Amino acid sequence: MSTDVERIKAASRGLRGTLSESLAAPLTGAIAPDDTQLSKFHGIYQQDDRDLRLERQHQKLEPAWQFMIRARVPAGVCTADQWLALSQLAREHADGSLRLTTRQAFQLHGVLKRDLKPTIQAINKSLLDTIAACGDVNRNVMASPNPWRSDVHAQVTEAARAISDHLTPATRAYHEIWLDGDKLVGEAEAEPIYGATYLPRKFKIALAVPPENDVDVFAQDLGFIAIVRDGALLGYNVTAGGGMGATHGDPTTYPRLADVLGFCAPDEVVGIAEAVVTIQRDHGNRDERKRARLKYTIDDRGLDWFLGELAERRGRPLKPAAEFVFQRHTDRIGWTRGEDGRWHRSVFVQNGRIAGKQLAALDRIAESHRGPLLLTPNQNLIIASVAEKDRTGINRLLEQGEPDGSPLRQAAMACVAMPTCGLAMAEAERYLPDLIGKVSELFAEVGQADTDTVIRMTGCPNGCARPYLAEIGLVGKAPGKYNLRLGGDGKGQRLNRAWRDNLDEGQILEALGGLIRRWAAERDDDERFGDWTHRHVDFAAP
Amino acid sequence: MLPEQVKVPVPDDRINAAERLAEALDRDQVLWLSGYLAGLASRDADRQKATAPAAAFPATILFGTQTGNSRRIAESLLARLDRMPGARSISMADYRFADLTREKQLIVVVSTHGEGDPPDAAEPFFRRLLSTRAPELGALRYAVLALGDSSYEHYCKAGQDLDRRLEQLGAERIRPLVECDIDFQDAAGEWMEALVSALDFESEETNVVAITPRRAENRTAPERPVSARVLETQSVTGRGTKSPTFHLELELADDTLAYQPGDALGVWPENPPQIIAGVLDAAGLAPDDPVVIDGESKALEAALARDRELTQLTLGDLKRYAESTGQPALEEFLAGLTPGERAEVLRTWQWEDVLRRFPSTTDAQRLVDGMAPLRPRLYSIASSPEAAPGEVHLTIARVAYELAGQNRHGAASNHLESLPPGETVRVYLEPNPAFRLPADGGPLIMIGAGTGIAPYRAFVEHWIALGLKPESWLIFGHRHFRTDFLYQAEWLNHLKAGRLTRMDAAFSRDAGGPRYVQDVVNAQASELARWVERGAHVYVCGSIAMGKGVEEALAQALGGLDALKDAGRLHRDVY
Ligand code: SRM
Ligand SMILES: Cc1cc2nc3c(=O)[nH]c(=O)nc-3n(C[C@H](O)[C@H](O)[C@H](O)COP(=O)(O)OP(=O)(O)OC[C@H]3O[C@@H](n4cnc5c(N)ncnc54)[C@H](O)[C@@H]3O)c2cc1C
Ligand SMILES: Cc1cc2nc3c(=O)[nH]c(=O)nc-3n(C[C@H](O)[C@H](O)[C@H](O)COP(=O)(O)O)c2cc1C
Ligand code: SF4
Repeated sequence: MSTDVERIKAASRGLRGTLSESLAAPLTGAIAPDDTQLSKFHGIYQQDDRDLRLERQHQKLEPAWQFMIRARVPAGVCTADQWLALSQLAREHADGSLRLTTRQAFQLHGVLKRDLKPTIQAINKSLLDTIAACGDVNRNVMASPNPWRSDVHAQVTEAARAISDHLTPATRAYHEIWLDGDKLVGEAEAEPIYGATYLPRKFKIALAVPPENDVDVFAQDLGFIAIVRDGALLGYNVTAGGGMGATHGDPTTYPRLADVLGFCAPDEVVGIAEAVVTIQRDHGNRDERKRARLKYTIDDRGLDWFLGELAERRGRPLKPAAEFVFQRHTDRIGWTRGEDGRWHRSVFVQNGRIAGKQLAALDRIAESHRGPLLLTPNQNLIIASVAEKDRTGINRLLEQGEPDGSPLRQAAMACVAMPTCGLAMAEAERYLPDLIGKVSELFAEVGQADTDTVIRMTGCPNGCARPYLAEIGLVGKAPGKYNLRLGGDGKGQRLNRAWRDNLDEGQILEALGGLIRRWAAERDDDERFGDWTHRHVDFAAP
Repeated sequence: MLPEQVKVPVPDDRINAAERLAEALDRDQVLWLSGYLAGLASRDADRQKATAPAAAFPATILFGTQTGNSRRIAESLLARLDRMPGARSISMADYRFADLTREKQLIVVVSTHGEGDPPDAAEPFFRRLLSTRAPELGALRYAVLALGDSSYEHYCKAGQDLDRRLEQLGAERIRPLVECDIDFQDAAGEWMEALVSALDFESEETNVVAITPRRAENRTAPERPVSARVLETQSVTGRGTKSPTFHLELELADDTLAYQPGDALGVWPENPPQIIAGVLDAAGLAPDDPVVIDGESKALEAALARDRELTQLTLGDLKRYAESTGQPALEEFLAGLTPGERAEVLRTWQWEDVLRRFPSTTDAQRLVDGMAPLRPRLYSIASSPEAAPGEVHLTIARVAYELAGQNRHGAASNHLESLPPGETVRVYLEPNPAFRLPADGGPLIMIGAGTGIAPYRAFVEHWIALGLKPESWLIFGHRHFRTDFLYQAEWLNHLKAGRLTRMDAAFSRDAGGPRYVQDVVNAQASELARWVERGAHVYVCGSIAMGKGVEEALAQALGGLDALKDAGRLHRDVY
């Protein structure tokens, strides 16, 4: 019995469904239910403003339907013109804010149905696109920013772009529906890699450049860890089977760290990506979407089976994995200097939401700086390749353009959740900043005000802010209630573990307060909070 | 005396009795009496046509879901009731609350979400069932399956609340409440087995006595109002609207006001406190200054609240005020105005504006003597007596505007919006025999702008309650799609269920798409003409200005309106 979504994909004539008819229906701000699955392949999610949901029900009005548009930005590389185009769209057709995501992509929220087409056309005019930003296909390919920093980074970014292009769906539906391309006549186009029903579920790829693991390579379906010796890129360790999504109370779903499979040469990455995608296409679970990701395919059939399939499809096995060391998976806010002597300013954006004064200031920087901007995997922004003489000008603009934040606040990450995410059970983006303030007091009380302990919060167990890798993970369970997880290692190589469930703010602060005091007193030299709790907390106790 | 050559269908003695009655009444009363008699005549016609009470439902599975589990259980239970024709499964979001009294066996599957709350889509049903307005359910048998997750504080609370409430309302359990944790498959399966064997499958016409409302007379009139209790006041325009409109549900204590869809309700307002305060301040008078109104002495404040018109001005009011307070300046001002300017003053000024711009040392008694008596306001009824027995619903736009920097409010619309549930208001029926559903059940085109959509809600609710499905086309206009699409959720449900054939909408302040209902008429001219050729009635309701514009467009579309008018198939309710 294949799932409903499989039926919809099969019948969609290359992801067209009845999207054009839905867009033209004037009496509702929504599109047809089946089309809401297909629109994801076009980078568009139908949502409703959940703050108004009950109020509008009483008012005998339909929900406040609106759309989220996600623009793909391979490796997070964005030009000043692209930034300005999206910022203009945010003000004109969206809710006035730009949202940087945990996969180095842009999101616009609050776009009305009648404004979808002009908005997508404008995004395309800026040479960004929204195709395959969502849906059962390969998503935005991540790479540790930034290519202007070193030659290795430039090669890794190029590899990410090559993979992204290679795995972009072939369907012309996108151009037909949004860009008024000529209408399909007869059979839908073939999809050489994906096939008629695409993948059983989304697929995520990231390339990391040690010592930074900012892309959280172990949370990805497929990952590449750059192996660099004396400034030269030798190749990549290949990882597979990572993923965050889980369902409360369902032990058959769980976050999983990717396995390191072996080593490959730089020019083999696109081939490996295609091979792994086709394995998932052919063997992923199409009967139950909750068990469809590659991590379950590998656990169901075993890692050896997977390595055999990969070797068979590539014609040769991987070489043994090489040594690598990760030091952190958060961003270092501030100025850094690249190999070519030019400067790069990593800007703190709280939970990726840019609006008001910060949006205006960053627009002015984009207009004056004209250089590239990088979206980071931690929802921040890098102003790349700045000449020495231009730094003071940018610093002045950043006084308006950057919220102040302690290391704890800068290291924290929250998913979007309310009011736009339909799956949110609790707040995240709108609540974490407030909680960070209270938790930082607990650290300050023990003289650790400048800790950079990694705190991540999500509104549900799907894990969009990769909470299962955090030193303190808070996963939404119900309004105002979170499951508290502890024990991440601060560099994304160890899953945290469930400790206390269903806690409200008071219980969270009380539980953390006790631990932080014990940690400050008992830890040896500068042991991280995550490592200490991993060793000292009795996770089995009720 | 009646002219000789008229062929009189009434025997002479009845004519004499009618004339003796007429002589005892003044001109207005005779006019009113004719309307009353016409109402009686049409009511008799309606009484013969009254259909049999709608049959009860043998079994209804009602589900409240957020993530689909309850819906899937309801569907699999329905599949097991194939030996019971007429069994149905329906979501609480789509359930017609009035059907509760016609249910025989109600099976509920509901989950709990948030913090022990019902699923979002089930919230309105819960709110109404748990409110004082829930009907007595003595004739009902029921069973509840509650889905939940024991890791939550309030485990299965929504199901428990509903099970307890149905018992409180007099219903009898078929099976006790069953609570299911997140691995609900087995528990739900066992519950279904036990339930199917306990259900009553005899499917012939059940002899449940359907509660049909006693056919009442209308014995109300402007001077004989009855009191109606406010049940609910609910804004029906979205946050940020510039045309705030609310839905008012009134309960009629007894059966002295029987209405039909198309009728209007007359409402005696009270002038809101802030309007009275403005007048007192402008006139420099105290609220408790004594005055005499129709021989009864009372405080000035009370007179201004219930006996005098403060917000609507006539030329007569202004002239009387100028004379009685010796105000030459006011008369010169009026004389100096062009007819257009004067109309605008009369349309927008209120008594407070007159008293502030042309102050005088008038005393309380002279002030009230110079004012016109309070007038009732009319509101097209937005409900059907069949669908909402014992209730009248109104759709009211709150009148509020600015005049020279001052906030001005309409009397009735603001007074009614301020009344808390339980409060009463004096009402009477204003029949509107010219605005009735087509007697032949033929096709109809309903054109309405703003609150002009109210009578069409009555029409649709009525034909649904009577099980009719006429070919129907609704054309609605207002300012903004996002905030002003009155009763949008209801129209979308009706369209989806085929209870409304077609709908077009125009929003004047949105870019793209038709802006006024006239634009829709022009754009759909040929299709409208085809409907009219098939015998469609055309209804126009809303502002006078809109009415004029629509009729011009219709005339163009249909090549003149005479044929339609002669056939009595053009109906207007403009205000
Ligand atoms: C915007 C973003 C969070 C953020 O604050 O940045 C996000 C937001 C949403 N995610 Fe996500 N996910 C985002 C990164 C992630 C990540 C992190 C990552 O990719 O490294 C994960 C965990 C990794 C993984 O996939 O396992 C993630 C796992 C999910 C899942 C669970 C998937 C699963 O396998 O179970 C869902 C639900 C689903 O797909 O059914 C989901 C669904 C969603 C949706 C689209 C909700 C929906 O399906 O209706 C959220 C939109 C909320 C909104 O209003 O914007 N999102 N989502 C991230 C956008 C990424 C991008 O640009 O493509
Ligand atoms: C048959 C019939 C059916 C009706 N049905 C409905 C209905 O279904 N829903 C509904 O809401 N109304 C309906 N009306 C109109 C309703 O009767 C009242 O006239 C309306 O509610 C205003 O009454 P009020 O007492 O609030 O304002 P009033 O106190 O009567 O009016 C205040 C004064 O303000 C003026 N004014 C109003 N708006 C403005 C403005 N924007 N700018 C300047 N001056 C302004 C008016 O001209 C008036 O002089 C209907 C009228 C009729 C005759
Ligand atoms: C956000 C959220 C909040 C919940 N809150 C409760 C609760 O307060 N009490 C309870 O018993 N179950 C609670 N549940 C569990 C659901 O009732 C349970 O998953 C049920 O099977 C859902 O059924 P449905 O799919 O029909 O909505 C909650 C579930 C979610 C997702
Ligand atoms: S983690 Fe859950 S609540 Fe947060 S954005 Fe993802 S799906 Fe929405």
